[in-house]
Amino acid sequence: MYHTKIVYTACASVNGVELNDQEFKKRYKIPAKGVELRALDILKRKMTQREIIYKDTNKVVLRLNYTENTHKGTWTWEN
Amino acid sequence: MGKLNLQSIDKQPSDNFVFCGKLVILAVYFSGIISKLGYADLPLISIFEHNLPSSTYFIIWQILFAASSLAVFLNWKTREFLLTNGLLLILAILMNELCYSNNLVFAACLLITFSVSNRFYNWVPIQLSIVYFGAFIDKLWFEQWRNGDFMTAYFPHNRILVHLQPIFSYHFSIMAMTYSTLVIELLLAILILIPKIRKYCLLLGLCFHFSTIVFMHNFFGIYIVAILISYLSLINTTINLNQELSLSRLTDYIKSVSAGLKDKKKKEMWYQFNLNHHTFRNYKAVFISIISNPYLYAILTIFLTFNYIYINILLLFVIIVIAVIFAIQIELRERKTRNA
Repeated sequence: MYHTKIVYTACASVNGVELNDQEFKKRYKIPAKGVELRALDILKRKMTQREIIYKDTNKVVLRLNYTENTHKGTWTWEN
Repeated sequence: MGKLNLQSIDKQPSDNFVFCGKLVILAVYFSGIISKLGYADLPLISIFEHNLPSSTYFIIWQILFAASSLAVFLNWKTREFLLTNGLLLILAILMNELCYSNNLVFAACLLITFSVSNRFYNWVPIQLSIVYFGAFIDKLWFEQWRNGDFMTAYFPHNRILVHLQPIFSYHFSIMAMTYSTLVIELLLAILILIPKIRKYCLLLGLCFHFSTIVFMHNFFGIYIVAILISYLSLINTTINLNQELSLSRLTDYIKSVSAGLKDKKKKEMWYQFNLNHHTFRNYKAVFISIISNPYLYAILTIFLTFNYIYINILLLFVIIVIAVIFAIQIELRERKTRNA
């Protein structure tokens, strides 16, 4: 079940203000840059679930640049 | 002391599931994963949302897990508390998605499996079969695995593959590794269910897991330890390892070892193994007497799961010292017999 390797860089902005690495880690409990060894959807869910469960009135935009094995991709989410 | 019969691995005359459960608990504690469990940061089930502070959940969960573990180690209602520990681990994952890992789920399920297994109904092979088959299907359905992308990304400049290049092309090596992994996982899923050939399956599994460690330079946290413990639980032995793992037995071992060191003339029994003219030559018996010691498994479990390098070195040193003392004793006996 050790099936994928995702090297990613994530960033988030709250009301147009981009979070730095420490703020990102504090909010999502995962590093802004790192390696995920589980499915890409799980990485996305780690960030979006926080916004869905602890929904607040702020405008949040999430961006994810990743390389899954040899495939590069980007993903954006906003509430 | 019972006899460890490695030949009939398919039979289960003694039930060591409780002992193996204790090893899994040790692995959970010494891997450091315990410090991340019990928080309710990102709950998978809604009842943990907004009710209590995350730290309160953490304290409650930690107390419950520690109390349950203590009950297991004190041999009080072991099956029930092994089940409790397994369920608490599952609960920790449901309380916080961020602490989810396949390794932790496997360890939790293993505790539950040990709690419901006995020498008549052994569920461990079924769990292992599900895990291996799941891993096989998971990889087979994932296109990036089938086309070798995962291996290409994981081994961009692997030294072993570079050295093999004059014989096998890089692409061939990558595809061979990809498809051999799929075939081995499928074989393990099937063979583990057949008692008569299970011992070969365990050997194949050990080679497979240790080759992944060598190639990936990665120890997989408590996963590999949990796999080794599950394999241990499938080994047929008449020794009750749980019974051997008691404080009184430990003090007996220490007393016999120290007495043996002080008085070399005295024929001491080490690990309940009588080291005399007939037995010192029987290295198989010596080896089996060492591997049938439950404390060795406890030290090995801590060694393989602990993430603090200095303690690892210390534990390795302890293991080596024990092995060297044992070997010296054997050598001294052999010389004495030769001289006589």
